[in-house]
Amino acid sequence: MNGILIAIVVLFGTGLALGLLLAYFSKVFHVEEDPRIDQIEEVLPGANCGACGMAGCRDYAKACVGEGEPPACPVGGAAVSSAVAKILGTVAQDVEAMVALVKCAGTEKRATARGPLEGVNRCAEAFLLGGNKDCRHGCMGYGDCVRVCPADAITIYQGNVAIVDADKCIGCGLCVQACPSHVISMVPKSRTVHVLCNSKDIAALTRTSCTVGCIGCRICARSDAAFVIEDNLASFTGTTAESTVPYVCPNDVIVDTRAFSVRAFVESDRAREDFTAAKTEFKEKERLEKLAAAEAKKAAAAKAAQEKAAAEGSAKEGKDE
Amino acid sequence: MSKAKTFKGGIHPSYNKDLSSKAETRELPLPAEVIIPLSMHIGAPAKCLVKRGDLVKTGQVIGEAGGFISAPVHASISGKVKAVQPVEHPMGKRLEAVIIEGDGKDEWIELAPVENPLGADKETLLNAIKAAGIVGMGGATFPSNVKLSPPANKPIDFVILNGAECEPYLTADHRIMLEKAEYIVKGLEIAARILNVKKLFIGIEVNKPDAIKVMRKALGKKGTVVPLEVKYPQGSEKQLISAITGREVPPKNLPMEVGAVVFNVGTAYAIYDAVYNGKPLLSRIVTVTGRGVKKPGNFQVRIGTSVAEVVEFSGGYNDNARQLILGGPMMGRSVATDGVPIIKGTGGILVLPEKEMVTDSYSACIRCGRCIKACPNRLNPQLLGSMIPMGLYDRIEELGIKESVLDYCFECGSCTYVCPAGRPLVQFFQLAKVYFRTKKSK
Amino acid sequence: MENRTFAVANSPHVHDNSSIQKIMWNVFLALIPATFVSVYAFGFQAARVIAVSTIAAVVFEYIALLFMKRDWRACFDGSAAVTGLLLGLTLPSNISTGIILIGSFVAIIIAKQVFGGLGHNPFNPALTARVFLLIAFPGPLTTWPLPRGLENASKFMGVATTKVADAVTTATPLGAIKQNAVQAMPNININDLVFGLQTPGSIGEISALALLLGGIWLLYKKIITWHIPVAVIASVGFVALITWRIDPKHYADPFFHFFAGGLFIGAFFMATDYVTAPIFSTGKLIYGAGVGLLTIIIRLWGGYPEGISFAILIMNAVTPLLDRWTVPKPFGFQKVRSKS
Repeated sequence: MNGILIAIVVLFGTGLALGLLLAYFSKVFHVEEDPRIDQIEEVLPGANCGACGMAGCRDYAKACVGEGEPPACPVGGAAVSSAVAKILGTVAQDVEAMVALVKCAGTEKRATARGPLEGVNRCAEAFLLGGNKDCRHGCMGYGDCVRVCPADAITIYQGNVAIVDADKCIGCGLCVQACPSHVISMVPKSRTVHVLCNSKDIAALTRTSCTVGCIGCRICARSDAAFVIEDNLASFTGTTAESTVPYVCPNDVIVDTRAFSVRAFVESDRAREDFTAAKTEFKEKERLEKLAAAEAKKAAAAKAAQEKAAAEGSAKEGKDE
Repeated sequence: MSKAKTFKGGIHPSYNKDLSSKAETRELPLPAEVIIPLSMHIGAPAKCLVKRGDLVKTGQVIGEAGGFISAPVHASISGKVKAVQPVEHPMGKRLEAVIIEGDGKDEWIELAPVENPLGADKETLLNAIKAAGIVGMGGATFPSNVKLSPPANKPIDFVILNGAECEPYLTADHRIMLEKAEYIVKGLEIAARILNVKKLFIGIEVNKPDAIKVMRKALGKKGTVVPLEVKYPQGSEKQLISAITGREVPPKNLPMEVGAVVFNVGTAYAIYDAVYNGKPLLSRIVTVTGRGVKKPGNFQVRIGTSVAEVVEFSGGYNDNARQLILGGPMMGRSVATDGVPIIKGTGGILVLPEKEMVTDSYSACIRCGRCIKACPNRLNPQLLGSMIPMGLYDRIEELGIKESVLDYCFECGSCTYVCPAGRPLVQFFQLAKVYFRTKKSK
Repeated sequence: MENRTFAVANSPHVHDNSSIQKIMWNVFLALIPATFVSVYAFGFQAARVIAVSTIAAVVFEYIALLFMKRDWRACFDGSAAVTGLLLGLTLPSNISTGIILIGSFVAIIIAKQVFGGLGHNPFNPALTARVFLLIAFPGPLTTWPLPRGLENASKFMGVATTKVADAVTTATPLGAIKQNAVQAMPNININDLVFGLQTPGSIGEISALALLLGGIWLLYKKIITWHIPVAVIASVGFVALITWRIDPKHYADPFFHFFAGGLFIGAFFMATDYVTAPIFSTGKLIYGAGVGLLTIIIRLWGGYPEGISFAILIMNAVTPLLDRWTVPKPFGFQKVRSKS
């Protein structure tokens, strides 16, 4: 009995002493921290994705209260930016929400394959071997981007092309860094028209390697000035364009997300059929319009000629008079 | 015979050289079409001098050197330029190339050999070599004239000819040593004259006793033939220098740093040809081998001939042919199609059947340490190979002493060869190198 | 000409055909002589211990791999079987099946798979399990039945035997020395220790000769290098020699320390475990010397009669440091020019 008592007393005493010590040291060695760090961390998305360049959200919060202004949180967008600004008492940085886009529709059916790559599990490995497609700029579909995506927004569907779900994408940009082919880029979330090709090869090569490759023909640029052609590759720089713009492309590279989702446009045969039908209809309409316009022009010209003749005639007549 | 010299580390793969080592070199008939990439060497690509429709003669310059470390490119047959466009290059990229449609006449330009080569001055010889577009023919394709013009503050003590040919399967160097021994020695003398060096060595692995004998006879008292232990990568330039002279070349440095210059035996022959006959580098010996071809052999092939044509002439593929490798099995490059051309550095065409392909998936490292024993550069492939797949690049930088430790690695593949877990270590290092390169360029 | 297409793969395109399976099954093979001796000496009981621990280890590995959604076929790569066999060989023959199962569980699940599976465990799984059992079940783990032929002896090396349930138990040679060196010393019979047929102890450690055979096989197959075993045995011998020369009455001679207890199984099979031993030659020598010194220190002056399990586990903890300190200079290494 006595022994138990002694044991209890000793243990209790030790515990108490250690507890007091701990309490004492936590006071003495207390690290003064800006309370705003916690507040900022609270409003951050908390994905710890590292897209801002810091190790995690807490590091970003620390950087915010420290010297120098860190870049805006690319994931949180305008809302987080203004919330952080409110805590810090500064003016919010202007951020446009961005999402990732895989600029490739070269599925197995459309892009010419090179010999099978053996023992390759990653895009980076495949890239060292020259890629699995004749096109060296396209998506290889081994999913390096899928592995780094913190939001599970990227999927490789059938056809071995990665597709980003724009609704799930938090815009951290990790996939852009992970992609050895540089086929992923960040685009404004509000953009509705995309060029789904990354081939910087000359037209002759692009034609042999893929049926849906951009050959830099500039037809799109003629219909909309927001298309810029660089390195044999068109890119869209505006926000939105006429819904008929995709139809002008000879290789069906342009997608309008108001009509088809990127996913449907890349992998669904049905969507492609619909698109082709719409395109044919549009072309037909255009042809008829052109025909009509030409006829109208012809008629106008004829009319003008007639009028001219009549005028000349009348002038003659006038002279005669 | 004294004990064969060697370096520390290395591996003993099965050599399979008997397949083609007895086959005498045969000349390939003139190809109907050649694809001549403008970049067949390390350094800046050559600048194209011809355009579509131009008529060219054999030996005509079609691309001039694009910088100090660069080499000119010559038409290897006479005919009409069909196109200048990017083509599938043996290195796995698409690079600009001149495609020439042959006229079957093989009309040569007028050749201008150097008169009295052993009495000619240094400049004349160097210019002849430079104009001939000679690059290292062992595979590294470093322009030879750069090697032959070291800065004045780097005295050169040794000229070494590399006849080790440590890559399994390949026998191109072996054959050229047997068949062209005296010319190789002449080429070596030219190099020695340019560099003003008296100490000449020829390093040959002891598994080629006939070549050692022939070269000894041809070299006479002018230098020493050094028998080397049969070990991969004995033919690596830096390992060869270490074996013969005991000097170690620091990473990212040229052998001239320690006073040595190394040429492949094929390069020495090309130097001879350029100086004595005025011929540019238009053809090379290529070994066609492996159990995926019907009749392995060695062939004198014009640069730019497609691989398909060479294999066809040799006797064709076996039905089980599955993998095509340009170079040897250790460092050669696997290509997807046989439409690629033979370039200056292509020493071999190796065709492997399905069952000889290494395709196993890899598992976790068990730290057996075999890679460390195999590494000729005394690195720790185990540690690097564990860090890189995890993306711990920053810690690799910490390991670096002066530069990244990866600078020591020349991707010989010894570590991967011995790894029981089948880890693709070489590839990890390539990935990390790409990572550091892009990081540096940023 | 129609171009042919080929499969593309990474260089190098040849391999020496080594594999983890081959290495592991070779280790397994190297342990077979010791297994035979133990079954001969202890009969059915030894076979039971070995079978249970080996099979349980493989089964636990299978469960762990399934649970972690990894390729379950990896449980047949031999590493789990070797761990199980090694664990079984370090147990007494009359140990209950339940304890063996717990041991296999600790070895595979706690010491190995929790850390990430093969190649990632910091401590040797078999030894971790053995030490766990030794601490958790000190009684059963230190009760040593007498081998066949000695069943009715009343004394072993001067220590009285005890009758428990169905066996006669006593101390191991090392235990006897520990209890009363002066009394036990004259009874040392090196022949018995070498052949192991008449010695109580862990079932696998009794025959130094059988273990040595296995060790030589491993060396011949280049699965282990000489560094670790030689360093371990040499350092044990060195200390034993000094103490024996100073006071031969209380300290046994080096040969006794070589052949008694688990020195050989430890030096050849456990300390050389790839995953937990240093990777460079210099590191291996330091590590081996450390194992040897700790072993003999525990044997001579520690609380336990045998110390190699603890010694190896302690040195396992030092392995990462040794790997950092003993990096050889790479080819063509130049001294750093100071940055300032």
